[in-house]
Amino acid sequence: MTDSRWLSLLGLLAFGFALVFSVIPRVAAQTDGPALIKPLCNPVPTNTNIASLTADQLTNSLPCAERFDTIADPDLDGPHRRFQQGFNFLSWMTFLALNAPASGDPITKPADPTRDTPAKWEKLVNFRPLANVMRSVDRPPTLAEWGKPDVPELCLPKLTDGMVVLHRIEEAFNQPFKTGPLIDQNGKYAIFDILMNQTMFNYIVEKRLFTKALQADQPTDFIVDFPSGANASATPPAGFSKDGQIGAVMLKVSWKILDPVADKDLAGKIHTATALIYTPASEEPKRPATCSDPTKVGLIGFHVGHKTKDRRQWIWTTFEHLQNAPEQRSVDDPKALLPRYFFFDVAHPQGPYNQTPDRPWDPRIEPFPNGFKSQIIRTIPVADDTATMNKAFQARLQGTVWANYMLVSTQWPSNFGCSANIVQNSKAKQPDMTCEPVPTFLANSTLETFTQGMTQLSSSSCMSCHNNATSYQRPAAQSDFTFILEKAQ
Amino acid sequence: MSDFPKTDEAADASADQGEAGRLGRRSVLVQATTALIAASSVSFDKPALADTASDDNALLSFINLSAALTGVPNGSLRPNVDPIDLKREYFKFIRLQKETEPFADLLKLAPAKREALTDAELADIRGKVAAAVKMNDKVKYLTRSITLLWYLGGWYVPSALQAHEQSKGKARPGFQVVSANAYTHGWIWRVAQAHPMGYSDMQFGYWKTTPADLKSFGGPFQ
Repeated sequence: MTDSRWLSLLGLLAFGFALVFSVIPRVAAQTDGPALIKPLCNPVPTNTNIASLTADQLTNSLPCAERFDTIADPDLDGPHRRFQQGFNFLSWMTFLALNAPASGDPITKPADPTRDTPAKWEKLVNFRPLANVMRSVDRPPTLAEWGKPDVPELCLPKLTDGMVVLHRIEEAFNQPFKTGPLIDQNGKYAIFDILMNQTMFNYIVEKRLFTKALQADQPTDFIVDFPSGANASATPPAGFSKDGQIGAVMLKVSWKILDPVADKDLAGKIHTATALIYTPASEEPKRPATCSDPTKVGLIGFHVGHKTKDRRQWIWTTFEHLQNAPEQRSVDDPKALLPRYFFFDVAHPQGPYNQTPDRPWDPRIEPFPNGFKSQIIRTIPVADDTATMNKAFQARLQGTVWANYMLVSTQWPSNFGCSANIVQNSKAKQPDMTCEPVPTFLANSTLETFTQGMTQLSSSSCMSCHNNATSYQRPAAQSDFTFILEKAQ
Repeated sequence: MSDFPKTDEAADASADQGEAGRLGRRSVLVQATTALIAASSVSFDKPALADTASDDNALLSFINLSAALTGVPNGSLRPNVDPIDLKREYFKFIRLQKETEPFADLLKLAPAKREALTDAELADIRGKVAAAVKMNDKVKYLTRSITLLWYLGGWYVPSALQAHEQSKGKARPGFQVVSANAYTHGWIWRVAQAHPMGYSDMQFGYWKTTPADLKSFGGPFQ
């Protein structure tokens, strides 16, 4: 064999090797293993002393549904605090179970500031990005696709194991109701992503709700009703097993691009991932698609919507990094301010606060023009009971990045007679289809930055907002508290 | 129903009752109005209730008094979990208003009971209020202001209501909407099985179907 033939053969082998390994991330399905989140349908009692929670409990306890264990509160306001604590406990256990290391390590394992520790929710075996479900009509999703990557061709050459791919469509940088982008103190856009669990994915695929046309073709009496979760029960209601089940769960997360220099001090204090940021082609202005080089991002916000049998308006959890933004009371008392925040300039603590930047909003142009940086405060303080629970969990998680996150609150439907029986679009009508959310308003300072507040109809309330979600069904109908169906093409 | 004195309109309203003993929207409003016309023999010249540890009991009395005045069940005025908490907002608001001197003694007419009021208890409260109203115009118009507050979410100064009546409707009373929650959660909307202008949490497309039943709106009202 001549040298040139050897070279050709080697080249061919190298090409084949590269081809095989570049394709693996796209086709390799994760079906089991340490990364898989296993729901716990006999949830940890909510009156458990948080300090005594075991590493295994903290790591592997995604509750199938809420439960309440503490004694009735004799206070005039009845069981309000008891329920709120129960829902907040569910939120923390959910947050930890989803963010536990995909490697199978306990979430209590000390942070390694030198490398990413992918979380379970980042694995396709557990959650699938919206962009990989509501695709162009010529690429319908299939049940068999669950767990398999769907990476834009442009990004494939840059993809390595453990990376996340963020699709920077408008919803990924422009907040709900197009209220604007959030710009960090480095002048970079915050990035948002929406994901769903397999229960939601299967429902969308099986009911054929993944394109506008298919939604419009649904029978007029079709009711969008995602499966509900339920705890194990000796006497389960019809349609539920004794073992319980996990219901529909959706996530909306926010990331901050980490600057290697300016954010160096965050190593070991924030959950990181290496991301490829895919920006689709645009028509106006006409620009080609791009895929960034691997970019280090840090998790700053984490919404969970969780539908359960008795909370058919879903349970709404939201977490944030402690350094996102201060509360007003911290601004009023500078001693209470942290040394630095991602979206607040401590050196210039004066307002105006929570302002949308001037247009144009183009995340391809960073840093944001004219030196604009968001100056954000949290307008509704974290409730005392929630803050107490946060401190207990943070103490239990010392040494991990998760000690730097806090639950802002959990919103839940407080009218239990209503919440267990009401299905949107069914004949069981109610004056308030949200079944009286508690708290009435809830916002994540990175995801609903510009709609924080306590003004009816305009301030952020998970349930009140999602109560308005519709699909392309005709006649128009609600879509079970999710905007995901509206994203169909 | 109670032995609370009825006007002719109230008697008509009773006739509107369904077989289940529930009243219609019109009759509820008439019943509420009737409660305002009654009078009492309690002394109303004592100092206003202080802010003390007994506030919880005073609040319970206020809720039960309000139930008797409005016809709305006390459990609906004080839901098990109450994120809106109008009861507390109104309670505090009234105590800060002028011309509400009889309020503290008015509260004494209703028990500080957490459980649902029985028909007999409702009748008892209404009887006492009716006697008090007969004795004292300030009580009469204060109870009317309280009722309007729950129904409309607005505060009508008692003397303005009196002037309105004495002028045979020519002196139109002004009012203050207490808060956005007070407006959106006024009981007038629920009794009418409707929603306030500009705000609704009802099901998409509700306008083309019949409303939910009164129980869903916090009834039955009596």
